[in-house]
Amino acid sequence: MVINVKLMSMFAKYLKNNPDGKVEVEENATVRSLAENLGMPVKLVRIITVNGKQEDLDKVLSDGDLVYIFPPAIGGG
Amino acid sequence: MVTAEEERLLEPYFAQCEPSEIAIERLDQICAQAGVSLRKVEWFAIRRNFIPHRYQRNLGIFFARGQLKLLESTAVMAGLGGLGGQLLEQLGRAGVGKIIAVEPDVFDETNLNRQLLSNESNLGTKKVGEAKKHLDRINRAVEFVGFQCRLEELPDDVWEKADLVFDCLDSIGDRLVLARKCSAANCTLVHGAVAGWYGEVGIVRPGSKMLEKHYQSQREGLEKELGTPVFTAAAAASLMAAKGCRILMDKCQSKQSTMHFFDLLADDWENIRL
Repeated sequence: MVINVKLMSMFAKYLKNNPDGKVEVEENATVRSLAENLGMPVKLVRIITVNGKQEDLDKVLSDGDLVYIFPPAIGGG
Repeated sequence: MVTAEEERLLEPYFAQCEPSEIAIERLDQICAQAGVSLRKVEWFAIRRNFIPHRYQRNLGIFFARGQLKLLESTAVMAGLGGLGGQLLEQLGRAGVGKIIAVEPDVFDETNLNRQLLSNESNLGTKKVGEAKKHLDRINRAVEFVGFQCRLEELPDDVWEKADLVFDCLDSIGDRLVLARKCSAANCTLVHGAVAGWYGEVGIVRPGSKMLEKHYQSQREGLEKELGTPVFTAAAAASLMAAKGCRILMDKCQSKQSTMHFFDLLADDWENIRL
């Protein structure tokens, strides 16, 4: 199945082999397995949304889902 | 907002003329003659449908009711750096009536790329002092109280006075202290953070523990690696100002905590409710 993936900020580089954001995954893939397959540093993942709803790394994905993964930001000074 | 005695002093200046727009020179005269603060004179004028010129271009979306609410409001700002300087400018021009700011630092050269209150002539000076000078140049009606100290050293009554608190800090530890202070005072917090092209702005409702969940055990962010350019700080500060003014004017219907993420390089953004 195919997942539509948006990786924000420093995570964007992990989509360099999928510039259209479409990533093929196995049935029953989770956000965690998706992130690991893309080579992402999973421990830095803080916010995940699937089809606009906040989820965690263990969310099981369905064909056509839209997944956003956000890194943390702290700066303000 | 004004006492009965202040109302008695101000009424004659507005009683015998038709409502219209009013210039700053006239407001200053009334302020000096009646012995009432400029903030209160502006508030009273708007109540009588005399609109200060300075707010003319606000009224299309704020309306008189919203402008009055802003003038009545007290905002607490934690941090006067990249986010805080831009935010101070916007809250001041919007006409938020009282701003209490806490910031321990002085300006240095590395601030010049992004911090609106810094310039080549004020390096080494206190940020709270420069904030006061800047605000006095753009809107003297705004009452400003600056604390040059750490967050933990602020007097407790600051939190009781706050209608809204803005998080313009740059460390997770301080952000979590601020979130706890706001929750204890039952006060909503507007959070902002940036890293490179990327930023996040949130509305943190008391008791939601949104920031605690957001940062979890993390202690460092991306900004040291990615830097902090002026446009990302300004974009985040603008979102914070807009969300903050909406809350102060009762134009924010949702009582949920929300987070707004944006990426200026990818032209992408996402909103989530938490």
